[in-house]
Amino acid sequence: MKAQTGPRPTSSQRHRTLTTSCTAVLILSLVAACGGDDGGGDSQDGGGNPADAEATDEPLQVWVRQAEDGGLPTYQEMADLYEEETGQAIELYGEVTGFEESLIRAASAGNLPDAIIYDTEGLGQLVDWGMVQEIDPDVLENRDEILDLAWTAAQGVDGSYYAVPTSTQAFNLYIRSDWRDNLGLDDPQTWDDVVEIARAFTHDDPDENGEDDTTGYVVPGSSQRGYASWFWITLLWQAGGDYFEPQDDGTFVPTLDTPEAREAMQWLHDMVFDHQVVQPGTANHVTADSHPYFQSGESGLYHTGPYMIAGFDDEPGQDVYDVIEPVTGPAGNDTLAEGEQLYVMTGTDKADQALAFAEWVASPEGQEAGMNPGGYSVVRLPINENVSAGEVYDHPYWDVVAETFAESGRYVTPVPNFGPFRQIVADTVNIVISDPDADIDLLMDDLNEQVAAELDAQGVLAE
Amino acid sequence: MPTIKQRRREPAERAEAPSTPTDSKPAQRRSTLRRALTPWAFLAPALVLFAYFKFYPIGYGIWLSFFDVAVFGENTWIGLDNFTAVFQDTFLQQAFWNTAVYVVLAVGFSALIGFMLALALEGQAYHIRIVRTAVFLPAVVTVAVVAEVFRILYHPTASGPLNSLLGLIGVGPLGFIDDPGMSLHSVIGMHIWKSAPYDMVIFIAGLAGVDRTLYESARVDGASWLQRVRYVTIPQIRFAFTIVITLGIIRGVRVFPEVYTLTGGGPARSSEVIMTYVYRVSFVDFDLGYAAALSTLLFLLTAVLTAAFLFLRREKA
Repeated sequence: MKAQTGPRPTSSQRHRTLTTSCTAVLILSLVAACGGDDGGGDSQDGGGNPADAEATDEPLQVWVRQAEDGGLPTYQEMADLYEEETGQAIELYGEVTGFEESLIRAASAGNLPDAIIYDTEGLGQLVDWGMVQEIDPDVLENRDEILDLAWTAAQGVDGSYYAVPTSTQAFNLYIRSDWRDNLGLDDPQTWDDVVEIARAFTHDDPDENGEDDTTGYVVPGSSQRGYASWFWITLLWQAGGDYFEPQDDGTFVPTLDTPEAREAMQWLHDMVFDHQVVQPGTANHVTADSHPYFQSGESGLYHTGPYMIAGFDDEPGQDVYDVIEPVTGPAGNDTLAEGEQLYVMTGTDKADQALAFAEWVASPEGQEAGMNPGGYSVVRLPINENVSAGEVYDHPYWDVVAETFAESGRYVTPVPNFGPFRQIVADTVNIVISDPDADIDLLMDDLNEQVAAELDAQGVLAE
Repeated sequence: MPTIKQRRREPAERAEAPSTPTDSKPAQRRSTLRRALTPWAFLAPALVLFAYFKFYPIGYGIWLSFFDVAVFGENTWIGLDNFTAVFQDTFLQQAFWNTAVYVVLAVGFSALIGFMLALALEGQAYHIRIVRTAVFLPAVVTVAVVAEVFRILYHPTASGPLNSLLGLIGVGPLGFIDDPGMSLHSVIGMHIWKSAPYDMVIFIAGLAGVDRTLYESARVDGASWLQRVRYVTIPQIRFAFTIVITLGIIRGVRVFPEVYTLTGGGPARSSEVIMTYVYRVSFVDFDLGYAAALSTLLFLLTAVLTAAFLFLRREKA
């Protein structure tokens, strides 16, 4: 570094500098204090025609649950393209694990963005907080092009729409095809097949390096952010269970003490402790800790989402893994489907501009830009019926994902607020996979009571 | 001995002497006022920032603990409900006991190891300074980095670095942070590794102030090394112990990054401490009013514990 040169400041110069600095600090403090309340504009109902929305001089503030090393650059490209076409600038902010915290901070400071692109599962929570506006889907010119199934995830339990779908996806089983071939195995079709292959991947040296350094099955088992239940829910559905059963009167009966739910939990417990085929340390692993096990060649089976395809193509490499249909459990082969959608935030004065942007993201052009073939896709499967995943991606694995979504994809059962259930169940799954002596019957009874209490707290527990 | 106030007044009194009786009083008053205000004027920027970024949030946090806080919208006054809910909260009770274990073990062992390191590494010799710097390094490394390193060290298979070593003596492999029975102690182990050098520095500062003639007298009296430590060193650096334990209690009670980065409070809540629980209540359950109440209680607990410890030290002294 070049050293600063020049005469030393005199005493009066130092005094002036100090005075200026103090004044600047005071002004900054006052500005910060005043700036906290500038976001409380009148609420808009989002009912205008977005096609008529004129570009504003101020950028539309959109938050996305993506990071710089993930989908944020893809969203930035979409925003730039949109600005080029419409003149409306988009100011993006992206964060992954701390997204909800930042949203709460922004809400308490009265500085919510104009719109967010966020998980379908979070709809109940956002509605419960009063953070998002109800929208009228009919104002979108391309409403009918958007898949009906995707629209169902944009509805609250009151039947109203609170978001515009932008992306959807289904979870598949990812398998190390070279390991499978080395051991002369076939793709798994059932839970028993998964056990057999996972055992072989763990004990039979599938990578043929002469060392006992592989495991069969990756499980993100941490309870943080509900990862453990997010993984387990597919097993639960495949066993024929669910968290609760909706009644005709809009209430729910908790169903986690059923034999189906117990079986799903027991199966996962056995994978960890009886068969010992799950990666070590699973109970503390979120997805970011789990992906590397598959990528680095330490584990060979992983039930995960298609957003990993680009990453897995790089490592371990497209030629050594396959994406296959979810396996069939005792009751079927349902698999978790989820998506993202654009929510218009309460208090924004740019609701029409936000809906116009949503309309563009849902259009074939916006969808293809978001699918970003070869890069990180923020639109995983298109929600626009006129866009074909297979054609855009030109990648065989995406065809499998699209088929899986159509045939086996299942969204979580809508309740007023799904978030607490995800966390409650995740805590129990986390206990089950960290305790070899876990009393599953007792835990499931207790879990069912917790779910009942939460349903009651949300005012929807069946009598 | 003059107090600070008295000393500060002296120059002013000296300055008054030559003034004439007619103009002395208003001039004196202005001068006194200016002298009184000057330090505050210099402190003002810092105080404004502190007030805005520290005191106001603390006060507002305490105020929120009496509300059912809506994440977005109007809060509802519920009086002491958030505080009474504490007694029914079994998760909190578990977190409380985990925190108690954490504080006792982490503070105790950090102080003990820090003290032993200080005894071993006291002195000005060049090679000792190098070793001391090396030993101190963990204290300046960020917790997130340390946690990542310990995650690797604690890898729960026979090929994990620590388990490989234990395997040499026929122990393990141990689960460490993967085992609910060991996770809390594993985090405490990391905390001690990071805190002991910090404590060492405080002890070394204390040791430097010990009168050498006391050691010589003790030696002349035939005291063994252990007796010199017991009857000369420890009483002479009582103050250092007070600082180390007080700071340790404060850090231990509100420990967060060590636990959050290494285990997130898991598995099965086995390493959940009060602060990770407060985080969970705030940003997973979004029950901000209850989280504010817990934080208020934690603040009081820390203040009471620290005050009690200082009081006991003084009584003993």
